[in-house]
Amino acid sequence: MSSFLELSALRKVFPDGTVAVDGMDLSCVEGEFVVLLGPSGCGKTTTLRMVAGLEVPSSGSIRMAGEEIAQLPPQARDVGFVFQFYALYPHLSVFDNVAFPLRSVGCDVVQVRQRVGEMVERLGLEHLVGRRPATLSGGDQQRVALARALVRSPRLWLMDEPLGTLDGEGRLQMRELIRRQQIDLGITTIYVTHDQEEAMSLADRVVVMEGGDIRQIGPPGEVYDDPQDLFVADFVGSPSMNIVTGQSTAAGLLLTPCGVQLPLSRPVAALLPLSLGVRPEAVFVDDQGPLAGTVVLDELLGAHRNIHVDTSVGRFIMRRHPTEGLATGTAVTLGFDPRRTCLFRTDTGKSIR
Amino acid sequence: MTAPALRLSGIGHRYGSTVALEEVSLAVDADELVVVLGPSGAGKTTLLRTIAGLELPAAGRVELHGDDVTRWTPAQRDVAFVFQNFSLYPGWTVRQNLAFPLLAPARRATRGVRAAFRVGADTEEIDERIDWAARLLGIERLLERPAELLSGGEMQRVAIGRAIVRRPRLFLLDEPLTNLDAKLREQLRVELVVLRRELGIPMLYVTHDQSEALAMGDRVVVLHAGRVLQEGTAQQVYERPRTPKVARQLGQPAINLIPLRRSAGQWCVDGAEQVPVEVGLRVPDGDQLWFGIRPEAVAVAGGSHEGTVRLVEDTGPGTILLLDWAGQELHLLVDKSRKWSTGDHLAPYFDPERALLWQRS
Repeated sequence: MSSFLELSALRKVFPDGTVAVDGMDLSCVEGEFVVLLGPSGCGKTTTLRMVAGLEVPSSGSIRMAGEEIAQLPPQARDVGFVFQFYALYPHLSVFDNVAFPLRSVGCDVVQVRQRVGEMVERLGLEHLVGRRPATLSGGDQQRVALARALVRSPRLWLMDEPLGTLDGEGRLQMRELIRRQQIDLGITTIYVTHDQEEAMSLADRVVVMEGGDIRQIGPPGEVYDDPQDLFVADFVGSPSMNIVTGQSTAAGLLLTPCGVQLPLSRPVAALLPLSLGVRPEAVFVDDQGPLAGTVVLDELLGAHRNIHVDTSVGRFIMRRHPTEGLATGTAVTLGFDPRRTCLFRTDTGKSIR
Repeated sequence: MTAPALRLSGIGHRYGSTVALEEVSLAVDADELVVVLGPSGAGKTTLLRTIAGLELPAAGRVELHGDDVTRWTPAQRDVAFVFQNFSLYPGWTVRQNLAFPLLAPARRATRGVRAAFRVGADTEEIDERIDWAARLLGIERLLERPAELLSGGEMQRVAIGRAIVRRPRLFLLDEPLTNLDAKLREQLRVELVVLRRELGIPMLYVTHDQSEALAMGDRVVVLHAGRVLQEGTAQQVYERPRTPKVARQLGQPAINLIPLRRSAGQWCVDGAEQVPVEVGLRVPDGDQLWFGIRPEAVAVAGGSHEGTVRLVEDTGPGTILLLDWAGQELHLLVDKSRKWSTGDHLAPYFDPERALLWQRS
């Protein structure tokens, strides 16, 4: 499939010399949901603002459907920018709230009626169009806010942490509504967040960014199972991957500074500084395992538990079934399946494959 | 039996005509972390302010270690309060911020804090306490730094440090992690629980975040519209919520609530009478039920009626499926042994042993 949106060598240097985005290449196919994920200052929002036309790139190109748009003004790009699902206008009806963005770009009465009609039907709000927001349930108010944010069908949606301050169940509901709308309407979407859980659940592909650079691009499962460097390994996943550092031995083991030997998943040259990564769900209690430790904390999280174990190589987190609790102070021996581990060079941080 | 660290009996409070708290009773034992979980507006902050002595309740009694302190001043109560918004003194170093609670109140008032710092009398003990707290929280290297140069996580560590430094008789924490990044929140959550246990000081922690409540609480108190809906261990409240409202407060995705109706002696999905649901033996009275089943308890096969997968959400270790089924939207939390796509069909099975039933009117 050909690419619909293409960023090439995109770069942004601010007047104070800060390199916000350092030569970014990204290509999205039509209808794709791409999430830019990273900590604050990683360049994700600047990238989005350049695509929207709110920042002018220092160099590089942005092509949409084959056309170079990097120098076009925002209104000539036909993109919808969603910062946040703002509060509704309390004095307007549901219909007028949803119609607001259409009227403000000069749609005529027929177009407004048609577009708003489609949107409220899609979200199951038809019976509420005459009501004022204050008379609606919280969930319905959120649907109206979503309808208003997404009522225009531009060629591209750009969303910058749109779930903002929503919490708990509302957050999950909104996230799912966004994704369903996007799938149904097939609008290519770039979504920015620092929340790895949100990124994983929404994305067709996740772009992990740090310091203005792309660290990894891939489907959520790939980024999670096979992180390309230690930054991605740590940033994606909650809790983070367990990491043990040491040196490879001639016998194909990892030798830690405290003398523990751990099996490696693949042959590696001897005497390399290595970091071994294990996801909490790949760690288990194993009487023959290599890691002796003591339980310091057992957190029940509903459908699973995170059990924190202090071992000689540091704190390890093990994910277990809710019925398999372990009391604080319990002595345990941990093991893991070497095939489910990741290996990195400690000096470069890069994964070894 | 020694008295609990904190006992609230029948606390009521109103702002004008708005009821903020009604008949709230709860206890925190000597070495216990109790989490109060509720949405915003549930009365959580009012509750903490009442315990700290910043609000006088309209009704009820506050007891600390057996003393009725309802009318005591905040200073007399010896509780430490950590707020959601980090409240450090800008322009002061971390050390000065940590020292503040250790200075005698009279001296703070009469001579000003800067003057108080110059007084040599108990500085050795103050330094000792500060070093101890800094070590516990891993902020030793920040001690001489001005507070305004700290990151959010560092500030909140210092704010917690300020609460522990004088070893109060009770900690009160008001959503202290809410404004932090997800990663940091998780890390500090763990540190707080371990730290509290090491100190052996009781803690009441309020939050709207169900994962914090589950993970941290020795016991959880579910508060809604000023009333206690349920209390118990996290596991008890998660597994045996008394009402659908409580059930939906814990767990993410939230529990599936399916409306059932009895027709011709059989239980069916309300609005989809062709879909029978097995409810087990202990059924409440009436002809209408809420059938509650947690997302992790739904099996992806074995049911009699098919649904369509609307969304597939990757969580890392597992997958969340959003399923259109019998006019309902269900969440399933499944492992990654099979790869699911939007549009797939599956017939979910609900083990009646794992279902929760409530009367529905």
